[in-house]
Amino acid sequence: MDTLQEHDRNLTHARKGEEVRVSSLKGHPDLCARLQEYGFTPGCAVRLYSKAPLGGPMSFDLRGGRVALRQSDAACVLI
Amino acid sequence: MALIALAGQANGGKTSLFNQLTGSRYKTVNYPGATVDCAVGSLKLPLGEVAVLDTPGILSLVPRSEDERAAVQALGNASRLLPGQDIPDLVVAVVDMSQPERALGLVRQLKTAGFRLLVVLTMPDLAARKGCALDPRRLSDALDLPVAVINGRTGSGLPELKDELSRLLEECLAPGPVTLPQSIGEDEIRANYEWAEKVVTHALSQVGRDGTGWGFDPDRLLLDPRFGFVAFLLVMTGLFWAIFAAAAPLQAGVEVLLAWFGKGLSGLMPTGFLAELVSQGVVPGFQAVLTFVPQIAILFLLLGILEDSGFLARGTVIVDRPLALIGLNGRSFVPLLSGFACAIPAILAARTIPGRKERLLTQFVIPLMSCSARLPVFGLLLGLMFPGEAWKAGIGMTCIYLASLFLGGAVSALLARAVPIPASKAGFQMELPAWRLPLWKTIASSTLDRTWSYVRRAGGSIFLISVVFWLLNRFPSPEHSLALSAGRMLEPMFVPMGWDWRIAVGLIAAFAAREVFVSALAVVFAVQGGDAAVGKLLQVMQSATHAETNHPLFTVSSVAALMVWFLIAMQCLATTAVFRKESGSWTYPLLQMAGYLVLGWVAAFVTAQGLQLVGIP
Repeated sequence: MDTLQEHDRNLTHARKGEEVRVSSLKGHPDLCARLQEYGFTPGCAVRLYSKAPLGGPMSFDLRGGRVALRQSDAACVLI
Repeated sequence: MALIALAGQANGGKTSLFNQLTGSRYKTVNYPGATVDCAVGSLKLPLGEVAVLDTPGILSLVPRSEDERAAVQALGNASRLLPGQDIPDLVVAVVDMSQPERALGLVRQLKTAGFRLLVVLTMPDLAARKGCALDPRRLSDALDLPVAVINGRTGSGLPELKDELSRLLEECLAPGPVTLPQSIGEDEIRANYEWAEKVVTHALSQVGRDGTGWGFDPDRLLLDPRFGFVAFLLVMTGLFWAIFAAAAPLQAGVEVLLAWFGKGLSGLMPTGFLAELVSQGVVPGFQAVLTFVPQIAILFLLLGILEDSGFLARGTVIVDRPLALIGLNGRSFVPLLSGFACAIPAILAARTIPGRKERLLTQFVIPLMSCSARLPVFGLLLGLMFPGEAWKAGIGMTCIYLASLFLGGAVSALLARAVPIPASKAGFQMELPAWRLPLWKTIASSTLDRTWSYVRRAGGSIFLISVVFWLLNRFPSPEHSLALSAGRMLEPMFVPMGWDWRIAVGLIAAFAAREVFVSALAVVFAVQGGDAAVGKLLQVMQSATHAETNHPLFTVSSVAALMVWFLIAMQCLATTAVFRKESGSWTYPLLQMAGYLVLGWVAAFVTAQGLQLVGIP
């Protein structure tokens, strides 16, 4: 894989157990709004709990709860 | 009458609170989006009776799916549900204490919109376990709102909450004008969270966990990229297999009981017309279906355990990817699974799917899931296929369930390409609620409730069909009955499958309710076989032959074709009506019904002829 620029990193690049901070969101405005309603707002600390089987959704711990996102949704959350 | 509305995020404990307040027994499910419709109950307070409204969970006042829309509409104007009511006098904002930030953002929106609010903190035990308990008084200061705490599972805190509700309602302030926001900007969402973080920091009363809990997190297994899918499949296969295998011993007991009861009842009757009606019509009609009550109860029990534990939300995550390939969504999992109990609530449950195409597709394939009304039918047919071998019948049952899943997938994949609706861009997000040990009392009572309502619902149609069927089979005479003439007319359609007029009339009766097929056959064979047939339906059916050829009627190929027919054919008019209401048009429900009837016939035809072709009679 190419070396990732700092601003290109998104949640799908997080490693298991790694805690990262959301920097911004990129994508369809409705989806970005909904993701932020789930708590993925800039500055929020997020930890990747696990990737689901078969390239399925990824689970994240944030704000005291656990939320699963499809990988294409997670790619909208830049870290 | 004053009106209190409950509002809050999904899986926050609204329905538990509603049940505690109103004494209702709505089923609570540890899954975000379990409540898809508003419910109304009443609460007695010293000042009089108060109406209570439970609403589906929302993330914000700007809805993004049908269940959220229903909730926001009801909050803005409750007159559709409660004539004469408008804005609730008081909104109880339910906040899950174990993850308060998201819910507090909604509290702020509700406050800005102009609602009168009481904040109720739920799940204090879970918050203490996680080490994030909040102090209600400090929270109240920070929010400038009244705050109460309740444990919805145990009911502790309920008297104090009722006092607080009385106090607030007695203040008798008319609810001010409420303006629901039309949209919510990203800035506002962020600002709400920043505000919520500050409020939580201010109100936090605990540092560190309280040391309770399981130690093992089942997510480590279920969400594991390697083992998760295997674990999931094991749970699901176990569920389907247990429905048949675990029920076998119970079923034997029920059969003995029913035979004893039927004999007693017939003995009480004076001989004559009425006695015959009871012994050949009503008794076998009921016996045939009630024999399968243990299986239905086990299905409801196991679904109840899955629902209460938190498994369902993990299921959606595991199947999201495979379901996306066939045009569905991870959120289709729960509607499809509840389709194994009954298609009607399942079609309502599909409201939580945000994309229209995915929602319609899910609702379209739900009737292919083998519902509990089909259990007695498959039970009888598997009994014919594997007499006395419960374990083989258990494997057969698992295969039937897998076949219905496979078929649903194939239909969905085909339609996903054919239907000219653009695919949704809503993606997939799912909150994973904390695992909970199911409360055995709740599970037991919900299993009993659901089984009893199944028996009651089926009971009416069984009684009616049994009586009507007995009359049709008995008059003018058993040899030249009305049922025989009607069945003979339909027979040509079913000859290729090896079915005769008796099965044909049973299939027609099944349009009243599928399980009635079993009752109808029981009555037909009871009239033909005389009293000897009562309680020995299986033996009588096994020895039944075609009238002209004397070939056995129930062969491997004819029984297999019947199973295929019942797997596919759309015979539930109530489902069609609900789908019409949910989709807002007749197009899809009628396509669904016609499509599945034709497909069912063709598939049964191919099954019977194919088996005969390879030499299986």
